[in-house]
Amino acid sequence: MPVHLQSRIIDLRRNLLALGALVEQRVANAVEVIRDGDVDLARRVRSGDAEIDQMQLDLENECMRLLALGSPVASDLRMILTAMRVSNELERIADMCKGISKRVIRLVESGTYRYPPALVQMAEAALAMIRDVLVAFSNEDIKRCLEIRRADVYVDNLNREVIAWAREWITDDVEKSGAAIELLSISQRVERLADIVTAIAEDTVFLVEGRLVRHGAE
Amino acid sequence: MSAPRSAAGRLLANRAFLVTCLLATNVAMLVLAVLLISIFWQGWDTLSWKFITSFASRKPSEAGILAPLMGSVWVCSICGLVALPLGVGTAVFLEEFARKSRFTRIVQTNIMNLAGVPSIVYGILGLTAFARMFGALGTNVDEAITLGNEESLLFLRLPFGSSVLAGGLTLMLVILPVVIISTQEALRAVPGSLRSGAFALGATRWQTVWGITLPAAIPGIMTGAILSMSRAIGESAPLLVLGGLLLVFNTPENLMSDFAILPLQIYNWAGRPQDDFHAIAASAIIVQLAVLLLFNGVAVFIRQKLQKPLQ
Amino acid sequence: MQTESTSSTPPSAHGHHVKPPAVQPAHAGHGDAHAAGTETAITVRAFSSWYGSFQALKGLELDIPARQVTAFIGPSGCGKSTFLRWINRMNDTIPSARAEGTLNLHGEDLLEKTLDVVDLRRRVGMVFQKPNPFPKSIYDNVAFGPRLHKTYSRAELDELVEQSLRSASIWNEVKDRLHSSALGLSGGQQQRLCIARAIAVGPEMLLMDEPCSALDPKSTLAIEELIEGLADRYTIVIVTHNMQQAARVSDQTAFFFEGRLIEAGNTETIFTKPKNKQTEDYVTGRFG
Repeated sequence: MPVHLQSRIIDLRRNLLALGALVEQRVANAVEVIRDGDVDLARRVRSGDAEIDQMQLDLENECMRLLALGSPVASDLRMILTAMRVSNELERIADMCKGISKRVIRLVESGTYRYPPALVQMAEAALAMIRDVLVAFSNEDIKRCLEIRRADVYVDNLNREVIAWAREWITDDVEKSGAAIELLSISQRVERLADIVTAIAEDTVFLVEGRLVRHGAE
Repeated sequence: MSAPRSAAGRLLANRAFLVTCLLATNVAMLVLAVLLISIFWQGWDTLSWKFITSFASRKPSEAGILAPLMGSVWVCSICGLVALPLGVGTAVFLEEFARKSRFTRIVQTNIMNLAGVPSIVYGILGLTAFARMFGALGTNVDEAITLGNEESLLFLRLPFGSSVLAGGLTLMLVILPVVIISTQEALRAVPGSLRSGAFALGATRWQTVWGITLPAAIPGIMTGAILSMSRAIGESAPLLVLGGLLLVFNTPENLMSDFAILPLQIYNWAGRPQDDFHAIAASAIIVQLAVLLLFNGVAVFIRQKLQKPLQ
Repeated sequence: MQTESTSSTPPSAHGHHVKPPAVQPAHAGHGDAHAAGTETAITVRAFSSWYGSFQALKGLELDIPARQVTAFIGPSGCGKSTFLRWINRMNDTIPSARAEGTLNLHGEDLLEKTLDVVDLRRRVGMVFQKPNPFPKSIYDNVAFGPRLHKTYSRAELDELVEQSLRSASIWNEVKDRLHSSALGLSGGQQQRLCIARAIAVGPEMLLMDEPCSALDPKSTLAIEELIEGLADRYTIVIVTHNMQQAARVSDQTAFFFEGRLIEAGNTETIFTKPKNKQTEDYVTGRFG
């Protein structure tokens, strides 16, 4: 691969991390929105997606160009494939944040916003996960990636607590079942967010070691 | 400090060079033309079928060149038939089979030196080795070994004496180094990739030489042969030493016959004071040129034939 | 293929095929060949060679599997062509060349002085970088090899020539002018003719020294497809400068550098995750 394309791969990596930082900020905002029910912040989260979408698109196009022009192999190839996957995954995470914000606004405006502590714990754990995965990617730290997978299990467990809490809420007050379902929708998104972060961690393992660790493989 | 060269200057130099080359070519062609024209002018009238088929005589009007003509043909044929296989074989051995060693380098140097030796030296060598055989087998009039009948075609006598066989072998010595060298050049010109291709198929060295290298070298070998034969036809000094200026009145009947050759007959007649003899000398020259063309034509024909399968 | 360290590649891993199989006599695909048991064709142990006092190859250790395509890659002067030429003892034509160590073809020692080199070269054919057809007819080019080793009847020879030209995917282009000069063919056709010529003697192995480097891309593609088709019946070793070609065409790849074998393994591994940093740098084009 010629030198000028090699430097584009380095830029690719840097841009990916920049996208990651932006999305991490979104997730931090989403945690605040969940915790405080801050409608203004939620509205800002909803509308700020255009920038992220554009960055993701640019990254994907750059990957295609490098594949077509450079015939990359080995680590170059793995970096480009990983960048494509991870940029996609980051964009989906931002989407989750958007969905979360939308539902919080609805609940707050209808005055029915209640949540268990487990939900905030989930969100904070997810935020920690995405921070970790970006560091792991940057440092090519496999161990950290594997720890992130364990954190995902923790988030799943918290999700079950939220579901249980919502069930109780409905049993107590059937009128609020609509709100409860909305709340579950929020927690589901947080859980999915954590799953996506786990996927990013698995992609990082592929980047570094060249092996696929999906579906529970070590 | 470098200065640019003017384009005009370079073009001028180019033209000048072109003109010089053309001039040189034209001068050469002119000289050749003058020679040919003067020969033909001098000798055309006395050239006749009678001239070609009669023997020598003291009278120029009745003299013919049959004996020297046939003598030349015999001697040169023998020379060619021996020199070519021997020369090509030696060249093939040196180029394709022998390992490069001190010995082969010495042989190579010697061959190249021999190519430059004046041909009269070969005449003396031929006289000693072939005609007289170092005196070990009797003398010219008292031969040691005689096989067959003097009149028949298969007659052999040792020592050879001044026979066409001795003459042919002596001429062979003259042209052998040239044949070897030009064949070597022709073999070297065959790309190594062809040999590699043959080896890679499991060919032995011999199969490669016979099947690939020699056929590819034929054009070059034949060219060398043509050049050598042209030289042989015109050689007079060695055969003079060997005894070729005998006044013979018959064409050679077998290998042991006496012989006369065209160059020497031409020399003989041209040296006489009478103009008539000069005229028939010129006619003889025309005949010699014709013989030369004939030999070359045969060689070219062979070359064409051997190249034909490639078209 | 083994080297110093073995990785845990799953047994069904095999050279990838980007293109669907070309129109060839049906071939099972390399995956099957690999899974059906990797018989080793060439065994190399502690192999070194010299040209005079210059050491060209240093302590090579390698196994070349039978009926697969193995590519030798590496920068210029790394010894890959030199090593190739030892396999059919073509280096014998160079007086100063000598070798030590073990080089076996199905257990037979190829370095033995008394080895029948002529027979070896019948069993191990070679195709060169620049096509080198003989200045003969197409028919005679292909028939030259077989005629060296056996006498054939006209009919047998006709059959053999046709089969060889078919195997080299060139029969249709030349069947109407078998007796015209081989030198009238294009470069790509000449190279396929040389392949047909090599096949005609019935080898078990084909050595190809950068067979496509003198050809245009279209001819190169044709030859690569041909190689894929031939790989079922012959063990093929191809030396190439072109990394993409090695990746496209081979099942196993060996990377040479300065006379040493740096890494050898499945082509897929070498091009997705090589074990050795030098290999990685070479295949990604960071040097060489």
